[in-house]
Amino acid sequence: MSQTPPALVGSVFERSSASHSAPKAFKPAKAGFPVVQRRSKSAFARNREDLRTRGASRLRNVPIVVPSENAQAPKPVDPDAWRDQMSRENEQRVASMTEEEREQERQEIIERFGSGVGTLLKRVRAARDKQAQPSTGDKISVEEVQAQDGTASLEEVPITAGEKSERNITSIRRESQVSPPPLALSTSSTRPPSRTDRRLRFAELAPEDVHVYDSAPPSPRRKALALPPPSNDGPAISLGQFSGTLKPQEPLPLRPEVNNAEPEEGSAEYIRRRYFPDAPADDPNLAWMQHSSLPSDSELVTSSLRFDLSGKPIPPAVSSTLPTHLGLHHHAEGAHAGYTLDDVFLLSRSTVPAQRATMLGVLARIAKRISKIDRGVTDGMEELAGKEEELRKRIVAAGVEAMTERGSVGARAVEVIWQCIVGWDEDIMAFGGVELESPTDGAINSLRLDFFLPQVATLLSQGEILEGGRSQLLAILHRLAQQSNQFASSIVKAPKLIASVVQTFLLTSIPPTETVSPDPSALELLIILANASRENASALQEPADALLRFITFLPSSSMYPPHLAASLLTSTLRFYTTLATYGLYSHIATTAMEQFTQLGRFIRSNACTSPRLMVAWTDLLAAWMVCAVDPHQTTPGHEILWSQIIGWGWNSEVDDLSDRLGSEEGIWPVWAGIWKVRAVWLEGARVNGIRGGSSERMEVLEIIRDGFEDGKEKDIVLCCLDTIKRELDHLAFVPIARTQLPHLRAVANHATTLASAIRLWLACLPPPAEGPLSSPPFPLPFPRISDLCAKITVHHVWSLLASTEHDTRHAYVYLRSLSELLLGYLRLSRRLPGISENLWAAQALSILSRLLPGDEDFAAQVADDLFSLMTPRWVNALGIQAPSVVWDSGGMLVIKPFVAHTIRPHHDICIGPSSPTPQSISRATTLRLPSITALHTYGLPLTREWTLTPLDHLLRSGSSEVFKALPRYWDASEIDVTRISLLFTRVCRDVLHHFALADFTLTREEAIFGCMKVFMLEHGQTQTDSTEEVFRDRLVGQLMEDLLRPYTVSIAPAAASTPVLPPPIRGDLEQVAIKFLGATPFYQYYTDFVALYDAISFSHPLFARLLLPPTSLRYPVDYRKHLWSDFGHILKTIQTPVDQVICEDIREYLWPVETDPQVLGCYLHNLLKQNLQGFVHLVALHHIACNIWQDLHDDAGWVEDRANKLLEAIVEQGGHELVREVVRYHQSTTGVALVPPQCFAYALDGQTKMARLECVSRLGLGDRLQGLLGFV
Amino acid sequence: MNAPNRFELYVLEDGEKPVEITEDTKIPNAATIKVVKQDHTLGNMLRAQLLAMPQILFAGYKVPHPLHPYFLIKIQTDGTLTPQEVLEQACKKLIGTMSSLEAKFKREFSFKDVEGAVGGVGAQEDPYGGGGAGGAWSGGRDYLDF
Repeated sequence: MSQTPPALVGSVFERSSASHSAPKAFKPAKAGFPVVQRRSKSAFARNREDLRTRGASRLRNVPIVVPSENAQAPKPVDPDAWRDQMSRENEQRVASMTEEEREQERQEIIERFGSGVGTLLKRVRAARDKQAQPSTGDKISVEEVQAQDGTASLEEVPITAGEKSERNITSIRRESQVSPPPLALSTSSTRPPSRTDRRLRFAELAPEDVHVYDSAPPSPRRKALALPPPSNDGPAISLGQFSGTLKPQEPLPLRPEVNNAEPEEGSAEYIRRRYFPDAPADDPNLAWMQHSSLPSDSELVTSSLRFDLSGKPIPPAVSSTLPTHLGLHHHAEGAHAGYTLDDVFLLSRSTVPAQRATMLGVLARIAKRISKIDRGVTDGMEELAGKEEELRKRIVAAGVEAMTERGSVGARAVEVIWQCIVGWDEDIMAFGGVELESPTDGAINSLRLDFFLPQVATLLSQGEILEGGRSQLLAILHRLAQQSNQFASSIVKAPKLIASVVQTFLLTSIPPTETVSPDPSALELLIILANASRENASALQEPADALLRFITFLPSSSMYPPHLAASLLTSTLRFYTTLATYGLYSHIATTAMEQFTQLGRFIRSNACTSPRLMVAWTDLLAAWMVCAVDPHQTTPGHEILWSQIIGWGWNSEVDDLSDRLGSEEGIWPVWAGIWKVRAVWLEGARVNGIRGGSSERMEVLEIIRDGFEDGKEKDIVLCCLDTIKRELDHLAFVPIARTQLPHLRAVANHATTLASAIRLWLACLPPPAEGPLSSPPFPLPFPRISDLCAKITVHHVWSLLASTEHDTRHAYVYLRSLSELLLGYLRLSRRLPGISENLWAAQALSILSRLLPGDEDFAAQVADDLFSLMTPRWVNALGIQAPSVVWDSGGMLVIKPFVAHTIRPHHDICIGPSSPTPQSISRATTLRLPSITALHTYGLPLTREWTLTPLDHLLRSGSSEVFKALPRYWDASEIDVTRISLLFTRVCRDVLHHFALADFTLTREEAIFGCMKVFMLEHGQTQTDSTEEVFRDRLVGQLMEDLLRPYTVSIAPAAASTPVLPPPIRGDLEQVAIKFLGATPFYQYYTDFVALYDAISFSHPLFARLLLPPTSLRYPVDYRKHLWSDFGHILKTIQTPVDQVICEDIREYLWPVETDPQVLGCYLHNLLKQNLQGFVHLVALHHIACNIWQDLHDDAGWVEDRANKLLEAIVEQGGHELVREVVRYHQSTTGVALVPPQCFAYALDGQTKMARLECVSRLGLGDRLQGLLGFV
Repeated sequence: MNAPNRFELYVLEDGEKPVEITEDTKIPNAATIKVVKQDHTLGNMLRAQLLAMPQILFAGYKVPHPLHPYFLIKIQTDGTLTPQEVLEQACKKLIGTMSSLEAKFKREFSFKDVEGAVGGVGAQEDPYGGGGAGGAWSGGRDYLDF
């Protein structure tokens, strides 16, 4: 007891002054006897009094003890202290009792525990004293206390496993002896002993652990945000100005490194260790109890971006320090500020509208930022790069889900959708006239239109949505309509959608109010939809009537602002033009004749200053004139008649307009429009006028000739030529980048102008039947136009057709103007006297490869012209021997159906040409070009091998559509088709080659593949006689030889410095074959080809030559294995001499040296068997020799062991000749390959000889071989 | 279901000639021989034999359709022999090779029987020669293992 003096002193001191008058002094009575106690009080009252005095004394005691404890509190508490305190209390209580009370308690204990309890307790106490003696003196032992009040389960000391088992045993034993007594004494007033030393957690916190943030301001006037300025790295995020002081937060508490360390009291681990030591340490079921700020969590944070409410990413370093009042912590995971994308997605489905709206706003801003990643602006979101499209899909899905909500949620949802669909790439919407679809557009393609479009219709028709939201919806529809024709059709077919668009955006109230006025972009939407397909256009005729209101009120007298009125009028005219391009709705010209007369008067007047309006007007006139040329082509027929056109005098209206125009660059499109109207007028007059419209031609020529000779028109044409040339120079680099597109657009515009001039020139010509031209109707700078067109034809700009870049893939739509120009030029040059037939054929063949879908009619016409040009006389004049038998079966007519199909493979899709013709207005199903990914399914632009396509149809005659719909006159045989096709190919190749148009000439690989097809015609045939085989036809064989001759190896020195040749520029055989074979690998085709050779060839020499190209070292080793290993027995029959191989340079068969053991084994085997002759012998010898002699080997692939084995095999088994060849073999790695016999006759230099001799000597063959090496 | 009867693959129909030779009208010393009711087994063997002969310029065969039990073999010679003669020679050689192979095989097989009897293991051998096969195929491997 002396060890705890303060407590002892306290209690002793206080207690002595308390009720300790215990042994009552005997009070002698007066009579010497005890005074008779009067029982004036009842027993109950006495009891009460007793109780009170005793209770009072106790109550006095308690405060005395407790303060002494509290004063000690900061001191580390001895874990055994409660025991001392307990015993002290017990002793105090015992001491405060009277004798009787003590006796009574004792009796009670004995009664309860039996009489032996006293000795038992004594024994226990003695044992404990003895145990505790060395360390703690006479501290009251645990066991005693436990025995008294049964608190063993509240043992404080954490126990290790070993100790515990021991303790369990003892406690069990003890319990068998002593049953736990009720806490008769200790429970009354003291706290449970186990809690006496429990530490209060906050007491351990240092003052700096408590953070006091500037809380959110009570009034908005106060400066709100309190943030440290961001560190200077990276883009700064600014959430506001900080004026106060702020303590940086300590780094998050880390999980204790050592597992054995004492866990923090009260934590889950602490509880587990104390009470559930058997439970596994990391029970996944209890993972939810884990504290959130664990290191793993912070790693998670760094790997996933967090965004603030403006959609900016928060750097991880900042996100852990931001205060909570910014509203960035309302998420479940972690203590970091900001929301991960998943949080945002989750919260954007919240049932609290405000929260949902906020999060949709955040999503929209995030989408905006993500869309910039595409353009290289990562902005701290590098880790999202590559996942843009996936996120876009998710974001747009979140938006679509919420768009039906009312209020701000719906508005924000529309914004989200707009951001993902329109705002993602607004530049792309500038590409009109082409489907924007691309396989990477996952977000737009994933949109469920059948759900989305009715929602849009509902939103628009309910009129609840705000102005901004409405125009966003319109823009979304616009973009979707541009996506593909299918999308556009869905939009038109969606119930009530178009009606509500028209109602909302166009048919606004008259007179206009301040807020609501018609929106020209809705008209643009209608134009795009009508462009997409004929069905759409005819469905859109219905609202077209209502648009007349924009024509009725001319800009001069309109109630709308002039600018708006002009653009509404322009768009309406363009919409009517679009409809007229399908031959639809042209009756409006008659119905609203008065309005259009007014309009014409306005446009001719000086009040009209908008070139766009003038262009729209001339285009509409031209389109209606085309409709009127043949009244049967419009839908329905006879809607507009040529006599009406004449009556309205549009021609003279155009003249009036041209009189008041200048010649500055901005006006050129108007000039183009005027020329187009005149050209169409003359073309129509040629059909409908008297005597082929010759008087109309005279009339027009009177007006325009002066201008083209020396006036505004001449200036414009010349300037146009200059500008195109200049702008083309800007496009000279490949690949064409986004920044160059303005140049391309300018080229396209000017090309249209020039094409209109050429068209007018052609329209002014008398019909070709009237004989050759004596003089041009009016002059054009013909040589310069020729130069320019030649330049355009071979320009790099056509590489856009193969573009896969996201930015430029749709820009090929601009090439349409260029091909229109080239077409015009081709027609022009046919009539020019200075152009020879050969030259024209070359021009036609090259320009055919530059035509785009939509030009099919013209391409077919050019092909027909070419066919009619190819008379026997003309072909013979080219120096090509074509016996008359070729022409007997019908000449070029034989392949005409095939070529027509090649040009127009689709029968259901007909893309309208860029300038409509009377034929096209009834046939066109769409006016838009396909997306570039679908371009290859169209016939145009023609590939270089288009002249060989009849062979494709012969090979697939069973499924070919051409054979199902052959014309009646067609009765050619397989051989006829092959002959004509090969002849045509040959002629085209020679013509193009003559004019050095290398880009359009058949490449070697294409020629090889084409000839393979001829042989493959026998694949699967069952005839037994070789006479039926097409390739055995003498003419076919001859034509194939001729076709391949320019591609056989040229012995001319090649200037390549490296032994390994680069692959062909325009695709190797495998790439060439893709177009015909589709998904079938070329290897499979080759195996069939080899098998066919094996079965039927009778060692046909050309067949054998065609086996070789895929075995060059450019191609994978599988081809060589197939030929040399699997079909080794046919090598004997391949007797191709070295100079007959079809390749650029035989070095492509020689280097790099073969290392595949199987192929080398075949080489060796066949050499030893003496099977090989000619080229195959050289190849085998080369690779064997190179693997033997280190001086020939080009790289580190030489293996000495293999070299020795090969040499031994050659020397042991080979004939003398073979040994000589191997030993003396030499090949030069640079320059021209040495062919036999030079490669054996080459004088080896001394060093090489010595090295080879050393090598053979090592194998013990030196005696036999040194003679061959020149050492005699 | 509609598969042809098995026997059609090897039984000649009435009046059907097993071999037909067509001289090629276009190529000298060349002929196409149609062999019915035979398949790749004979075709490949014959071609290999033909290619081994020095008079042969070309020899190749094909089975035009897997369900039609015939093959066509095309032979071109250097002119010293006609294709028919070459084919006859090839067939003779092939028969010779086959019979010598058969004789060898039988001899070896009888040796094996004798050794088996001498070894005295044979009494309890299972009727399918399982024990022997197991030994031959190095440790009980099934042919399916290949």
